[in-house]
Amino acid sequence: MRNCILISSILVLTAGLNAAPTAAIAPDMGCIPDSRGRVVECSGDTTQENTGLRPVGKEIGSRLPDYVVFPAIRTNPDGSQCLYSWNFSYGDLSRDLVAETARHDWEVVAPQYPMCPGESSTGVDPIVYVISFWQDIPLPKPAPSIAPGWAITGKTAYLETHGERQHDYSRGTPFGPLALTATGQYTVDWGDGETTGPYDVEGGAWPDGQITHTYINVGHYDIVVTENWSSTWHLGGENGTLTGLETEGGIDNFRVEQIQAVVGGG
Amino acid sequence: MIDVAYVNRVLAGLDAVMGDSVRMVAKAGSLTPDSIDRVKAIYVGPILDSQLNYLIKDSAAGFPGLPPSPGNRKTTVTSLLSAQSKCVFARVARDYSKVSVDARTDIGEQYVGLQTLDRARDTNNYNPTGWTIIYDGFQKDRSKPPDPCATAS
Repeated sequence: MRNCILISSILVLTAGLNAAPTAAIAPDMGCIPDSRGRVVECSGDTTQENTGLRPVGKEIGSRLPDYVVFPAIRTNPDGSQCLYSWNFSYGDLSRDLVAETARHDWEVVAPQYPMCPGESSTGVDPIVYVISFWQDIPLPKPAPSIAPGWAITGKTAYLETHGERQHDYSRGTPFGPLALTATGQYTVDWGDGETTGPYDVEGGAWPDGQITHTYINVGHYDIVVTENWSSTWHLGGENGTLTGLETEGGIDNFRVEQIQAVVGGG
Repeated sequence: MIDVAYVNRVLAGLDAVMGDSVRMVAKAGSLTPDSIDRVKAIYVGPILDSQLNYLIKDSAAGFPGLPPSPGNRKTTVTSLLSAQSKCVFARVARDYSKVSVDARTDIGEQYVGLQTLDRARDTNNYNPTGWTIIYDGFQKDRSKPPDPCATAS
C-alpha cells in the first residue's frame, strides 16, 4: 500500500511518445506532408523524414521527450482528494521504467479519484492517449517457416506465417475504457527480388496455404514477412482508425535447391 | 461564389489555425488540449490522425528547424479542380518558409480537399473558415488523386 501511495504521488500519464512511430497514413491516402514541409509519409511506405525520428518496428525513434506525464493526488482544504497531472522529468532514470510506472498509475490509481476542477484544461486529449497507447502496445510478430525447411526450384513453396491477424486490446483510462482492435496484413519479401502481398490471410502449409512462391534459382535467401497493422479504437464516445505500425519476422538464409534427374544405365 | 480567390482566403485561414497550434505546442514544450482542438477543427478523418501524429513527433523532437518567430505556411491554389457548395478540390502550392528553415524542396505541388465544417467539431470556434480539410497530400506517382468530393458525404 505504501508503494501504491508513493507511486500515485507521481504518476502517470501519458505520454507515450516513447516509440515514435512511422506514419499513420491510411490506405489510399497517398502521401501526406506535415504542416511544416519537413516530413512526407506515404501509405505503404516507411517514413521519408528528416527529423531524426525513425519508424517503429524495425527501428525506434531516437528522440524522446525528457518527461513522462504522471497523475498526482491533491488534497483539498475540505479533505477531499482529486487528480491532477504533471510532467515528470526522468533524468538519468530508465524512461521505460518510469513510463511503465506511469501507465500503472493511470490504470490503477487514477480511476479512483475525480479530476481536479480545471484540470481538464491541462490534461491530455483522449485522442493523444489513444495514439500513445497505439504506439506502445506489443503487437504480435509473425514467425514464418516453410516446410520442410528448404525449397526446390520450380516447385511451389508454402509459407506459414505463424502469426496473428487480429488482436483486441483494452485499457482503463482517465476517460473511460479504451478498446482497440488491431488487424494485420502480411507482405512477403522473398529475398530473390520479388515481394508479394498484402495478404489478408494467415499463410498455411501445403496444399491449402495461400502465401506461396516459386523460386527460379538455387541459392540462399533472406525472407522477410512484414505485418502492417491498423486499428479501430473506441474511447469515451469517440472512435477512429490508426495505422502505420508494423512488425516483422523472417527466415534467414533459406536454402533453395535444384533436383536433377539421374538416368541410370542398363 | 467559390472561386480561386475565395479558396485562397479559406486556405489562409486554415493555415493560420495550424500555425497557431504549432506555435502553442512549441511554446509550451508539450501538447496541450487547445493545440489539439485546433488541429481537430481543421482536419477530419484519416488525415487528422496523420497530422496529430506529426505534431506529436515534432513536439518530441523539439520542433527542429522552426524559425525563431514562426509564422504560417502559405497555401496557394494553382488550379481549382472542382468547386461545389459543400466540397472543394484544388491543386495547390505551399510555401513553408515561415514555419521551417529546412523544409523539403521536393514536395512540389499538392492537393487539398475541403468540405464544409461540422461546427460540432469546433465548439471553441477556432476555425473561422467554415471549411475543414479532408484530403491533404499527393500521390506517390504525382498523378492527380481521386477527387475526394466524389465520395465526401
